[in-house]
Amino acid sequence: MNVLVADLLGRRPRYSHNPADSYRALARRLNISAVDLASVGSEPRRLDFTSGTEKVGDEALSVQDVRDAS
Amino acid sequence: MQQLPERRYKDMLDDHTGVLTEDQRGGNTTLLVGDAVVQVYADKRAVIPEVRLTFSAPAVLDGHNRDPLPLWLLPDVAEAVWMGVSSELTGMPAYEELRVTRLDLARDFVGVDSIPRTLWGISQLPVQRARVDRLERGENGTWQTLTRGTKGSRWRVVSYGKSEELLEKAARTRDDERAELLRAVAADCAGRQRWELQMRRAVLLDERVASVRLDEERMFTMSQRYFARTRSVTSSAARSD
Repeated sequence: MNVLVADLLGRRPRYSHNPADSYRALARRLNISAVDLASVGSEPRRLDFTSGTEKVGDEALSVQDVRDAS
Repeated sequence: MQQLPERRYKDMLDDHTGVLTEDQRGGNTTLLVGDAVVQVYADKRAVIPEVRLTFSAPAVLDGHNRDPLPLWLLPDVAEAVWMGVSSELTGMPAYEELRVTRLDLARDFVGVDSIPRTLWGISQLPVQRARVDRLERGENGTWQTLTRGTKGSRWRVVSYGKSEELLEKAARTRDDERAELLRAVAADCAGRQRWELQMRRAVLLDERVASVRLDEERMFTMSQRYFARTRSVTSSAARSD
């Protein structure tokens, strides 16, 4: 089911094995608007809890702080 | 409870006499303390009757909740609210009996380039065991609020653009002066994304949080744990998995 939904979405399959996640993802995809598409960039982005800022690019790829906390 | 304008009753039937009597179970009202509205609920259904005070701590001081209250100020604000309510209503329990049964811990992210995009990116990451998981649009048509957490009343995480939320509040209020204040503070926090951990009684008990004297470092670490648990960390293109 995950692969089917991923095909429908034109994306790679996710790691969740819960079909509900796939259905939600599909429903959300269908609900996307032109405004949302226009703002999507290709750079990695991450909210950094420690600094309270959004990290962009290479900085976003380090997730050490979260692994420490979880 | 006679002082509370809205009261709740339950009809009680005496099996022997057939007489029906009204048993007062609780009541509620709202009071103004400082610059904030405090909701007061009295409930005597529990083994120990309780009075619940619900208020936004930063709003008591500032009249709005743009900035989270520093935790070290919470005991003073809670005491001020308790005193304000006690001066209006008689029979309030002693301040020392006050226990936290609902706590919102906020973490702000500043300078976020596009809050709708960030919310969208996070929403695409599936979370385990989340019974509430929804992304909603604001009145301007873009993604405004992401909610994740457990069904019912344990805990929930809500993330949204603070400026947009304040502007929506300003549009809803009928008080012109308040609307002007909200618009002014909203203008000062563009690009600020609030992440809010809302904790209720059961999870506060599990986390051993009861007193209004909260340990700042412990609360920070605890928030960070829930932040990671709801996958709030990663936005659209950065996938840690």
